[in-house]
Amino acid sequence: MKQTVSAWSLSSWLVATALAMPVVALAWFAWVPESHSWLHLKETVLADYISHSLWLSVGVALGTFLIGVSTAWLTTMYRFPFSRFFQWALLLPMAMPAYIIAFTYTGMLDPAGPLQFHLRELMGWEYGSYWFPSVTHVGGAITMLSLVLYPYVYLLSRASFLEQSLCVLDVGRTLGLGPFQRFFRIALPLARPGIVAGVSIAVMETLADYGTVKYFGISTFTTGIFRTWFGLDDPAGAARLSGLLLGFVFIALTIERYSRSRQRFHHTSQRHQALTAKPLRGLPATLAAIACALPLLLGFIIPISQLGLWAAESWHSIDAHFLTLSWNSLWVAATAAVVATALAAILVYGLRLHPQWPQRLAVRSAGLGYAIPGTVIAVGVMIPAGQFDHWLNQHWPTAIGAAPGLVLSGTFIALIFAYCLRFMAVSLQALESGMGRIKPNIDEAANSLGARRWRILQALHLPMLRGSLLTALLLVFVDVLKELPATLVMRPFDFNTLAVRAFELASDERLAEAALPSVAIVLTGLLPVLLLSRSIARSRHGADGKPLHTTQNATPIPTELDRL
Amino acid sequence: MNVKNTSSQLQVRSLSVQLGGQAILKGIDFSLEAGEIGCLLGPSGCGKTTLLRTIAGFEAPSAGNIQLGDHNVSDKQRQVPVEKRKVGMVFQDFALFPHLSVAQNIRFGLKGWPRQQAQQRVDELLSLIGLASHAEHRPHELSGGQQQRVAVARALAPKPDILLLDEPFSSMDKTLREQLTDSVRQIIKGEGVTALMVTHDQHEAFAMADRVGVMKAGELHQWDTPYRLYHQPDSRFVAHFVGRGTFIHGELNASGQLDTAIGELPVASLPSTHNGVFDVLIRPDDIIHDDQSPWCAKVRSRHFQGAHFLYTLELDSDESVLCFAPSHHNHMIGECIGIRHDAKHVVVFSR
Repeated sequence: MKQTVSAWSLSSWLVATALAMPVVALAWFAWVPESHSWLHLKETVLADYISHSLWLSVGVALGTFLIGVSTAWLTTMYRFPFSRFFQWALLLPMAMPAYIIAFTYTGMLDPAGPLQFHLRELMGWEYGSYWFPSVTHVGGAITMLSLVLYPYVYLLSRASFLEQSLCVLDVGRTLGLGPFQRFFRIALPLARPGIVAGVSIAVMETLADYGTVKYFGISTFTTGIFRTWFGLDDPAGAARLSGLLLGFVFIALTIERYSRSRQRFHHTSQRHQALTAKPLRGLPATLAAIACALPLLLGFIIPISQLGLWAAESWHSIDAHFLTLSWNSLWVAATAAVVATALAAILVYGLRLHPQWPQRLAVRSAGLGYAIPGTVIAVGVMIPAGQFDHWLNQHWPTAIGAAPGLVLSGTFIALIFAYCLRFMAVSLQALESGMGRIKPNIDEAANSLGARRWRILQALHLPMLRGSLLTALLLVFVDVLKELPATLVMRPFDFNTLAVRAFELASDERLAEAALPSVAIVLTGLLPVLLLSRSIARSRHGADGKPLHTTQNATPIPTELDRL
Repeated sequence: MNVKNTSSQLQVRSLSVQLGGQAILKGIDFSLEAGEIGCLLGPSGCGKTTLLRTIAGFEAPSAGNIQLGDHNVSDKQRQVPVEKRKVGMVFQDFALFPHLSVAQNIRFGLKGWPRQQAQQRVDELLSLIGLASHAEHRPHELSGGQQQRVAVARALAPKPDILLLDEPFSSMDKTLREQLTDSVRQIIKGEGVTALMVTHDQHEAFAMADRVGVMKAGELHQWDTPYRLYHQPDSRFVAHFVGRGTFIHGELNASGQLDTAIGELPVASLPSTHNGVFDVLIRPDDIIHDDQSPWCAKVRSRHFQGAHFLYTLELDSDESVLCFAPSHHNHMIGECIGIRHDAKHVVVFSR
């Protein structure tokens, strides 16, 4: 018995330590003396990086707040044409990676693009004789990121609104508050923790974004890290920049955590009475429908249609090369999903057996990777991996034979490891919520019936966790498929994935060809979003005052927001 | 005390438990005969659930020992792990395995039994709990009462040395609870198994148990039959917690009886040391409403309970007693009504 105890703790500590390595490596660089190129960087472009990243963060925070909160309030409180459809459809932009929507709009709005071409035909304008909006600037990047990141705010604030008992709003009514006052003086302050958490996640994703800002040519932290490493060949400088970026991310993370921890104190009414949505008619109904339709159109329907058109044009370009790409993406994502889920299972099961603070710390720190931008993870993994390979080859005993060459850096081992680090929180969250629903007295009941630990694991836990395991696999799979910056840096020589290829083609202005892999990514990305919308559609019964439908077998889909 | 009583199925001796440095149970002593149903009764936080979980083996005692059948399952030297103890446990929320059918749930503890025998045992229990037609259903398809019975059957299947039930009826409404206590009692008696149950509801305890233990703050105040708990409580707490009643002043007179505000009362037994002055326990059934009686008391409050009224009456001495009266005896607050006592033997506590 004692031995199994230490085996579980030991393995979960090993996993947690391995996953913490990159951050430790980055922290170590803070003590390395400042290099010449770093000093140069500090004098010239660092201010740009900081100000651009900050502007983007502020802009996206505002954008996602406006879109997310307004649509959440409308769909929770009112009935209007298509309001039920919007309840779940508003999540669809989540499936659209920011870099894909960015190049789609760039291509669409380009003077040579379809929109301007048809406009010129129609109106008889001359090229260059009229003003036309473009997106390739900070404001455009803010718009693009807001359009795909607002679902985080939508989801969390909607959940907050739904949790608010109707009682508090009714109290407002009896005290003479009109609908707008009820929103601004009761509902909004009550939902504040949820909203702040959603906005913080959007900001973290913004800071992590590489594809969009690179494509638009905006210098931020992430593009700076790439440039410093590959352009200036200064890994130490890149590590320093990464550390600085981590600082900003952790500010957002702390705000998110803090507001999340306050959320549970906001239930004032013991009795929960579900909200009954109020039907709207006439002009207000039309306006509400338009307000919800706009983000959906701009964030998903228009770009996916354009991508579909382009993809149809380049259909013939599906060749052996494209199939190799798809196959590469598939197996690398599948491997990462399996490994990340297995590691998460070790951690979560260790926590169930020993629910004390060391184990909890191990699980929490293993889950922090989701807050760390892919670029930073790449730097954090590549540096120690390179040093390990260097050390190994130097100390390789000649008696054994030729030196092994690169074991970690530039190999799949490092790449899969980076994916696991980045997306561990996803699989952890799925498994933890599943494990949490297996109450401890299930184990005790089995115990009293004579079952030992392995039988409990095999006969009870595994079958009861099946849904959560599948969810974890699916979520990590899709996230890896969409991942861009870490793959870009860490992929082995001559190895390409759909995401990388889409980005490369788009950067070469070969948008039609880029559309094909992009459509593949977006369609796969729809899977978890549809699962999520299904669970929302189910919870809608509660919103209509009907009893909540709960079965013991239903596997709740962990939302993206629960990941952190 | 050390002589082993061969017919006792469960013996708990000087059992103490500490959790997180806090003494939860202090020197618990009791035993349960084979085939008896015992019940631990007490307010929440009294340690009754901890006692049950310690007997099951989920908590380790800091002192004392537990004997189950012929085996010492817990003493200073050794703690038999739960899975080797042969205890059947029914949990408050049943803890049925949601992914297994009713039959599979019941069969879970029969690992290692020959196939045919296991099947026979499962069938036997399914008909005992009256769910033979639901064998292939999943737990979530059953009603609360049905789930409850499956939980009992699952715990009984491996023929445990003792069946432990942790507040098994607390999640049900009152009507269902009354039906279930009856049917669960029949199932347990039908199997002839020794059982120990935890509850905070005395009606449940009285309906189910042959023996009831009243607990408070980690101590077992009295371990007795329901009848004696009600009529001969050992402590003021037991007198207060079990049944209704009030205390009135009483003084021992020359004829060895008690002078009280409702007349002279016969006393069952006196404490070994006393000064002749006592608190006398008066149950509502000790007082009879009688319009002819010369003794009169003022109605202070009344509680309509359908078949009867429960009156709180104020005596001349400013003390109060409770009294049941048929519901057609409708008296107003402030009115004086005739009463007489019908106490054969009253219980007294030294002042």
